[in-house]
Amino acid sequence: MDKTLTPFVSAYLRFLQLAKVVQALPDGQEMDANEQALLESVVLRWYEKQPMTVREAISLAALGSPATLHKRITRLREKDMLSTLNLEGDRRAKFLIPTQRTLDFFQHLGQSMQQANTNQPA
Amino acid sequence: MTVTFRHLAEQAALALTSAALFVSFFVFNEWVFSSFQYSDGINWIFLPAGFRVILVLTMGLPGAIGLMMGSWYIDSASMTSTAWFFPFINGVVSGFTPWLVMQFLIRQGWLAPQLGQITASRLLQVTLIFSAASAMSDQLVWWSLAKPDANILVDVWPMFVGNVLGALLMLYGMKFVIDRMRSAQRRKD
Repeated sequence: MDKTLTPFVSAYLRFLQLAKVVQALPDGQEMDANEQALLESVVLRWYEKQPMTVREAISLAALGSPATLHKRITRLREKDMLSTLNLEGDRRAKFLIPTQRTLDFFQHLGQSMQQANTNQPA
Repeated sequence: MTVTFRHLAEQAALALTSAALFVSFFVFNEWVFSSFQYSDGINWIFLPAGFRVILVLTMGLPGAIGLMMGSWYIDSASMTSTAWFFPFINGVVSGFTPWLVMQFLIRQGWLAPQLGQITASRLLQVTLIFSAASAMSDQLVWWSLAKPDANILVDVWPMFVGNVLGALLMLYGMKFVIDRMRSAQRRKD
């Protein structure tokens, strides 16, 4: 395979590989398992077109106490994984919605799942 | 024949690009981080080490040849008809150590020749190995040819730290630029 590629093409393709890996370098913005569980619950509700309010999110008793969940929401917002939305006419309810970064994250997971499926022996 | 000539021409162009990038960042490093100098030739932050990783991983042998030529160019002021051997060997070691390490890692199955399936943690491990190998080989050459009174066991550490910090700065700088470019693209879409 090496022989059919010119040095320029080979160098460029390796650069693309490297650029892809460089983007995945850890940057302190990774989520722990608890944050991911909360994010999944919030995004599933958003996907069902019934976005979760902050009040509802901190009431997910299976995932932790309200104070803990509130801290987790704050951390997810700081990591640009969640943003809030106020609906017109009801400024008290704050809805949690995923950011583009979150959608990219789930897209990456989806691609990995698909890749794992295709790599499985028949 | 045409293909061979084209291959050679492209490899020469890659080597020259590699040399130019290495020298540019060497000069830039001297300018920005001159206050972090530990001793002559050793800096606590050595950005060109990042280019060693990037250039050798992406360009392979032409990248290593470029690093060697860049090193010769940097040392050209100290090259005289009587004192050319040390800068010459220094350049060869500086350029080829990362390439030899890469070949070793490929042989051990740690790296694929086309970098397929490389992960972020593997890239960080490779960066550490390159940094350690470069620091040790450079120090061995210095100790055996130029500074027999140097304390290699002490001096190797600032060089290793400089290589690691420089390489991480370069890789995370690259990540920062790519992330910003992707964000700008998303906003445009």
